Amino acid sequence: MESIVMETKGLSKKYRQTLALDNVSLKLEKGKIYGFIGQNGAGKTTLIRMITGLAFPTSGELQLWGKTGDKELQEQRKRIGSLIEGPALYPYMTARQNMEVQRIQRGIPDKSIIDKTLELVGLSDTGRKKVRNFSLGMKQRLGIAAALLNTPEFLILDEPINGLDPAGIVDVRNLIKKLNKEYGMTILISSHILEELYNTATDFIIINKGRILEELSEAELNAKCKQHIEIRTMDTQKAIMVLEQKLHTDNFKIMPDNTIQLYDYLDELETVAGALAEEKVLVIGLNVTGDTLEQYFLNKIGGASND
Amino acid sequence: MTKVIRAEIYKLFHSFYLWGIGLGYLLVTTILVHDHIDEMSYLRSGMYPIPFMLFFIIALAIVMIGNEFDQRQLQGYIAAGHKRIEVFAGKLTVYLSGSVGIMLVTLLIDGLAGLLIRGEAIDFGTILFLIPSFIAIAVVPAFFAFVFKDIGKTLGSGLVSFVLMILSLNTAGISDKAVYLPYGHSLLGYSEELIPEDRTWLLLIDLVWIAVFVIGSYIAVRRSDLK
Repeated sequence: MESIVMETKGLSKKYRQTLALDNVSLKLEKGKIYGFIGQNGAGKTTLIRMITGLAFPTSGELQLWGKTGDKELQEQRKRIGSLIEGPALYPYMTARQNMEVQRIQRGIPDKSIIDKTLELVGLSDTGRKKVRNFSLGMKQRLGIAAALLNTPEFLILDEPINGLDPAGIVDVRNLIKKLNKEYGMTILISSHILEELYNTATDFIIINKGRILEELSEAELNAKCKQHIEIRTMDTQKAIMVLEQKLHTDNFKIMPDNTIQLYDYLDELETVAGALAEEKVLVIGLNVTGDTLEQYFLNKIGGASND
Repeated sequence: MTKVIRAEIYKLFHSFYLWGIGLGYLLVTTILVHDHIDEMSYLRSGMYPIPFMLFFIIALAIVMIGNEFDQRQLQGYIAAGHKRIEVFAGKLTVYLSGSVGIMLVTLLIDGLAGLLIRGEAIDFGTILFLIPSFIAIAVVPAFFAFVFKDIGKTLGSGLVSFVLMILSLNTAGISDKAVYLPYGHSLLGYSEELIPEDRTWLLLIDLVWIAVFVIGSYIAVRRSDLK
């Protein structure tokens, strides 16, 4: 059971008339980095709040390390580190003093952990500078440091790279990978920067309008985002007929915007162009491409919107 | 709960809020005390402004509770695995220690001033007796902070309660009504109407106020969704 860090069964959350989470069933396995993808208001933070005990489900069950029930869940939350919607810091204190508050409240006896953690996030030399004078990126790093102070088994980062410069983003990415590799930490990250999530996560969860649309591994995502010929035409139906009857393939997909993704003939672009031209199909775009996570996500939620 | 209290004390000693509000309270009280010292002792004069100084205690509730909900600092305790009752009790304990401490220390300084300047005896019995009233006064703005969990509404409701208190203290026959109001107890002390026979009854009233507002505050945080 310890291999499953978190599991939800039919979890729902309703705020007055708004269904923020709708029957969410999810399993997070130990040692993986989950990229949590969804638009604003999709339900990401609501789910994260429930995991961290800040909100209560309207129905359904939440398990942490196989344990459920308010008392047990709260005990298990000591194994979690979290950064939710920006760091909750004390602006009138220095970075070290902020970390000292976290150390005291978590009951960590070893004071040297503060220096080690600050060094890990690159904030070991801020001295007596008060947090109110920190840049947004420095505050974000300190928030991450606070989440890491208890060396959590499960780390939850909600928009961790907000406000970071490009170098800072790379640092956080490397840090997340290092924590995952060295400590076997399970990590759940939500971010709007999907390219960055793609470079960091091992698994992806797509949520839209409170419902989990898809859970997929990096390998599955790569397979789904695989190279293809993108055909843009004014006459999709005729193009489909050409692909099926002239090129003898059904290995293609029609996207919500009516473009066709063809997964065969990748090295024979001219054959495809020729076949379409022969049947007088007006082609306005033809190129070999592959989906990014962003395109995949947009297609996914576009598809969901069309449902 | 010990860890929460230790963290809260560490924060108190690294912020200027408590000390700034405490100093402001002392300075304003010292000025108001001088309005009455010709007619009565320093200690009794020091009891007069206590209800009017509630806005300092409201400010303390705002920075220690409302602001920390607003900045999601209190939520951090819960996310770290502390039970809500521990967070609530720890926070309330430190807040009440701070607010009651400010009121008590100021009153003691007034008594000490009377002793040093005019050789007046300090009535420790009355001072101790007023402690439950101080707690009852302080739990009201804390209640608003726990209910609204922000700065603006805590300030607004605190000010409304302040105005209601001032209005109630300016109505006819206040001496009779003051028995039922914790902030009225200091006025009874000031006007030497705090007779020993009434003290059990007054203490009971303070305890009822404390129980109602503490339980109400806890209900407000026990199962509420936090941002």
